[in-house]
Amino acid sequence: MQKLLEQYNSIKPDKGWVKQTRKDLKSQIPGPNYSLYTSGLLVIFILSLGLIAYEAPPQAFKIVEQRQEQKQIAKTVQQARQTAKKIEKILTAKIESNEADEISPVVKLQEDLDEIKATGIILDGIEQDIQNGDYLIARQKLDKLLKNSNIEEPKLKVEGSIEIEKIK
Amino acid sequence: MSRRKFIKLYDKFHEPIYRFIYFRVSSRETAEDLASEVFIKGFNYFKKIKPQNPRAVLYKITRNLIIDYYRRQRPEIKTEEPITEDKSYLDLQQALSKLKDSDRDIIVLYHFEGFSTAEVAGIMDKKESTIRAILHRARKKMQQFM
Repeated sequence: MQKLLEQYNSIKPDKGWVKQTRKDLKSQIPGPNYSLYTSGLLVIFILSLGLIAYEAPPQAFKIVEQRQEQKQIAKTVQQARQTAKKIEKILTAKIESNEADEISPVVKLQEDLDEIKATGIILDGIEQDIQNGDYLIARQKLDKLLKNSNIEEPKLKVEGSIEIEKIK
Repeated sequence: MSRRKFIKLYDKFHEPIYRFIYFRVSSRETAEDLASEVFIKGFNYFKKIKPQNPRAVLYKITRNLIIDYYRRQRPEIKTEEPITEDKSYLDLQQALSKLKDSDRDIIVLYHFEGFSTAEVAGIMDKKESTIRAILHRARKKMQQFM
């Protein structure tokens, strides 16, 4: 019987047929029912999002507060820059027109102009800090500048008010 | 049954199923066609019923398809000695040619495919005692070729 068994096992199908039939079966047999798995995964995902949102409030308020701070600083910088440009124009015009004949007033004007230019450089620095996200540093620089210049910071009007508790 | 599991079943049994059919129909092309049909029917069956013995079910489907095939053929094509394309297993062919079709299937399922007498009985729709008796009788007839 062993000899017959060996002869029996020597019969093998054509490899091309094996491959093709496998391919045909795969195309004819429907795949897994993903809709059930997808729905399940979707429910879990939505629940996770809900949980994250529930846990996240302090972080969300911190972001809102930072954005308000950013707007405040940007507005202040813009107004300070505009003022500095105006003064620069006026002083430059006065120096060029030689309205001031005396030396000391011209020198004084030049000094003031230099100060305005320096302020412009500081304002550039503050703008750069804002772009880099260093709001604290920008705020400190601006406060110092305003204090030294005796300029009042303009009030930023925010639509609606949000009562935000300090983050511990 | 999932597609993945069924394809694994195909990978495991396509060769023996093909062999089983080939020895009955003696044509590679016919054996290929019938073997493909076995797996398609098999999957449709497994979609409805979870089989305990998928291998035995596949062979039962195979046997039924072979019977249907011969019913569709003209009677004169079926001869006592099957016409083979390959002579490398002549002894086997000659040994099996001494047997009736159903006896041949029983010998192949038991001795060559390794089914138990209970499994063979399930595939052939016969009693286990009948299978044992047929095996004894068939082995005697094949004695000279073993």
